[in-house]
Amino acid sequence: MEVDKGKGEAEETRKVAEADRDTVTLKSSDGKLFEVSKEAAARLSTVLAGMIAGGSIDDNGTDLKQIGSEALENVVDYCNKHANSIPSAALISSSISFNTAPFKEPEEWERKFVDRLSHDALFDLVEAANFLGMERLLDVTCHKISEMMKGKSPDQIREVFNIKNDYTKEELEEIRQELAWAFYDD
Amino acid sequence: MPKVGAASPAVASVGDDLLGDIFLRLPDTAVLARAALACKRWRRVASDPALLRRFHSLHGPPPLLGFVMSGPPPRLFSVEGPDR
Repeated sequence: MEVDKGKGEAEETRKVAEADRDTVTLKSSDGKLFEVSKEAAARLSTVLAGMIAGGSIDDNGTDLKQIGSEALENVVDYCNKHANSIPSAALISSSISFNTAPFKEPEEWERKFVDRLSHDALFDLVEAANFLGMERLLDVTCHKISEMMKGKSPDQIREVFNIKNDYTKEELEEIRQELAWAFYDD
Repeated sequence: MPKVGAASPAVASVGDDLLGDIFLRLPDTAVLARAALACKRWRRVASDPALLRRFHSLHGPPPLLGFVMSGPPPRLFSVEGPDR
C-alpha cells in the first residue's frame, strides 16, 4: 500500500474499483463470506438484482441473516454453475408465467446438483431460494422434494419426511375411505 | 437417502406457502391425496382452494372427479371414486 497517498484519493480509487467488480460478496447468518458473479446473481435472484440495482450491496459482505453458510454456499455454487447455461430471456419469461405455466423440468446438471444434497440441506436450500426470489432454483428444489413423495404410501411419506402422524385412527380411516381411489397402485 | 434424525425440523420449518409450491409439482391428485394423509397440516395445505385451482391449471382438469370443497364438512376430495 502506498503510504503518502491522500486518504480521500485512496477512498475514491477503492470505490471505483468496487463499482467495477464483477462479483458481489454475500455474508451468511454465521458470518461466512461468499463471492458470486454479479451477473449471475442479478439474473437468477430477483432480490439480489434489486439490491444490486438499488446500491444496497455491501462490498464487505452483504448480510443475508436468514441464510446459513451451507445453504448460501449451495446458492452461490448454483449461481456459478448456472452462469452460462440459460439465456436470461428464457428465465425472465419463465418467472413471469410462474403462476400458470407448467414447470420446466430440471436439467441434468440441476438434478445432480440437488441429488447430492442431504435432506436438511435440500430444505434449507428451498427456503434460501424462496427468500432470494430465485424462481429457477425454487423450481428445481421443489421438484426434487415432490419426487420424494411419488409412489409412496402416507406411512412411507411420513417416514421419508420425518412427520409425526397427528391423525387419530378413526380420522385416518374415515379420510382413507373417502380417498380410496388414491390408493390404487400406480 | 440421507438418514434424518428424529428431531430434524426440516419439513416442519418449511412454511405453508413453500409446502404448497412443493405440492404443485406432484404429478396427479392421487399423490397429492396420499401426501395429504401424512398429517393435518399437509392436508390443510393440500386442500387449500387456491392451491387446488393452480394444481388443476397446471396438470389439467381433474378426470371424472376432483376436489370438492363446497360446504361443510370440508372434504379434500369428492366422495365418489373414479369410474373404473
